[in-house]
Amino acid sequence: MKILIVDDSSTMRRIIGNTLKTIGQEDVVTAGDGVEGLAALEANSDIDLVLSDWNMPNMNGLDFLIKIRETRSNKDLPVIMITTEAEKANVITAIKAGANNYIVKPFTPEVLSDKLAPFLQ
Amino acid sequence: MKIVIAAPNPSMLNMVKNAFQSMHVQNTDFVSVSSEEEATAALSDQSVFLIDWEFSDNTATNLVVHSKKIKPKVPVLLLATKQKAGTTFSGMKAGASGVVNKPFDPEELVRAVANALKSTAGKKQKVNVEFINPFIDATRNVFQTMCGVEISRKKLFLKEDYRMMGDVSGVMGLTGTATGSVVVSLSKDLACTIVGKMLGEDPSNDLTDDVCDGVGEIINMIAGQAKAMLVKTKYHFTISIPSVVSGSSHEISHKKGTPNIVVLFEALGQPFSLQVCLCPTEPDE
Repeated sequence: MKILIVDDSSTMRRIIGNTLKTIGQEDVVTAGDGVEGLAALEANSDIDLVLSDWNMPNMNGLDFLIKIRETRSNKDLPVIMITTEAEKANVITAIKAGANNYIVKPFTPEVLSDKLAPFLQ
Repeated sequence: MKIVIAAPNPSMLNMVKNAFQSMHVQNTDFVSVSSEEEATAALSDQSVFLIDWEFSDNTATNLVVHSKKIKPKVPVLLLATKQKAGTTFSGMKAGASGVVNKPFDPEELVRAVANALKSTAGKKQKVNVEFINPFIDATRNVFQTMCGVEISRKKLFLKEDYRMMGDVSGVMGLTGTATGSVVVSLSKDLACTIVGKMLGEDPSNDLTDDVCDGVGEIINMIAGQAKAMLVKTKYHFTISIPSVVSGSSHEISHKKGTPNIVVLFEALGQPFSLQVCLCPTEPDE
């Protein structure tokens, strides 16, 4: 399974990547913002799951999510938001825009693996 | 006004005197002290206590503790070189009001003394727990969840001028119903250890780009958590992308006239600070 991690923080990309490794997910592609995320999706048609931050430069996670859902081939691609935006209103906005799940930072490795479990075959 | 000076080098008395004279400050007495007994005799309610951070032992910190015991209202300022300013946590924890960098600019020293007097003698500002507690809870939660580190709150105070005491600070600008900033400031060692724990990797020995990025992510999470807790209050705000500043005793400006609350914490036996400056856009009715 190939997973795309989109976050402007290199630390956060590594934290998520390290947690994914512990649950046997080593095939990871990373991007620093929504623009890079779209390019990564273009270059890797075999990406099965996207984990995206919200607040990022150039293109934020919400706009990135909207762009993904606008593309016919990516309509059903699972996208999970991982963000510090912890308000209910943010969660609703993201779910309405097509997010499949929502993880609030800070998170424990257990929370991350639990939320990912339904998407990992 | 009486300036009481404690320094290992007696020439400090004249340096301070000259600074005040060059700024034409009149009606000021200057006294040099070198022990707790001498400090007891010299300190009065109209004093400002300047303590040089150059003592080779714990004298400087002990003098802060002593002066706060006998004259709690007398403001204490530490005089420290830029290289040593990052080590003044113990003095600040003991009750010092701030740090003035050496070699000092006369104007800066006089202004720091005036501000220290104003903040202790003047109107007592009320610390609004309504907005500070969410930041304290968020900080505790971020350290606990991301690093498995329990932190304890040591001190909380209001500051007009505040020089960050750490080597690296994560800064988040806040806008919206309330505007301001929140800053977390850590020593190099603590930043490297905490970011190492976040990553589940060995800590770095230096303030690398990765460590700085990690500090940015810490303030990002603190601000995000506090934001959610302050929803539907007049202190609600939006966050953006954090920035990181490094270098010992760096200064972070904040909105003029807005109360700036500094919270000192301890993690793994080392101090760090959180600075919150937040003001509702709409004044109280």
